[in-house]
Amino acid sequence: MNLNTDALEPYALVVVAGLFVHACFQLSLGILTVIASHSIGSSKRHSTVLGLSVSYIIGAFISTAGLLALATYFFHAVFPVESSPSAMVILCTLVMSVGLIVLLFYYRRSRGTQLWLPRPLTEMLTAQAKQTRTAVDAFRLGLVVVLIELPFLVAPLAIAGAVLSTLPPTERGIGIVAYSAAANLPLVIVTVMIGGGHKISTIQRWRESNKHFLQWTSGLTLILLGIYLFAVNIWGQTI
Amino acid sequence: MSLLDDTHVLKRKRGEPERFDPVKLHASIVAACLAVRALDGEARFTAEHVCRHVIDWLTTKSEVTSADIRRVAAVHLKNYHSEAGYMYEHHPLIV
Repeated sequence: MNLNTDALEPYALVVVAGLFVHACFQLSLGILTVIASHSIGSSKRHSTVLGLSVSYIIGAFISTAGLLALATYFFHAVFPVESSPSAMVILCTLVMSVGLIVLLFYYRRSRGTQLWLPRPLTEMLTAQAKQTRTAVDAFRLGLVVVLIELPFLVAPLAIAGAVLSTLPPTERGIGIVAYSAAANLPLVIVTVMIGGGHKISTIQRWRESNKHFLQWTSGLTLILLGIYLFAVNIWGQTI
Repeated sequence: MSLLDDTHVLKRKRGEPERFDPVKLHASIVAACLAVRALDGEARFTAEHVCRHVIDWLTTKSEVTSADIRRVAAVHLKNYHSEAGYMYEHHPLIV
């Protein structure tokens, strides 16, 4: 039996963008770490800590899915890359540029896992995370955090949106769910670890020691995806 | 009147001095210990000892920043509970 690899290619691109780019971005995970750390530190019940984490993940998932649905609509109705080589060139340039920016600027040159964000915004987010008491607060924070990271998320979302815009509507829905699940997988893993009794310090140490690995993974994947899309859709069409 | 009544903590964000509050320091160390799954009694015992070390250090100072206190507390906390010390020190560096 022959496997039709052409049919799998769009999904592979979407999952690669979700798993190796979006999931490597650390703002959502950092805020989840702060929420969990403060909830456990203020002697909240284990079920409450898990409830807050799950609400936060649901917020982040919905925000991711909503943004990808918008990107898909944009590339389907407003800016179709399938029929316009110049649109594809713009998309590839955006993706490669963001990849380069991730490599250069994603983390601050300091100890810990401090990100590119302006300090007042970070302090505001950390304060919000510390004040998270209810599931609604956590859900809202999950929604907002994804929006704040949009300057970097625009690249994987654009790739996934452009790819999904070429698929039939049902498959678009599957793709959006697959991307959102892949992108938020680290949040689920951390919540499972917290639920299993792991220490927050273990998670934070892992994040700190692997931050450059994650930065290079996301940045290089974006650059390679940009080159791949350019090669297949521009060079491949002109040769 | 204790020597600590003369000690002021300079808050970096607001820049206004405020009196050193050992209860606040104790609560933050207890929270750091509990965050790394230390037992309640262990957390309070550790916090009391670390607070004593910080107060001993403070008696020779008239004005310090909150970052100074955090750094000194983290050094002593690491001796009692290394994971809690790590979290206490790295808490402002997570995001």
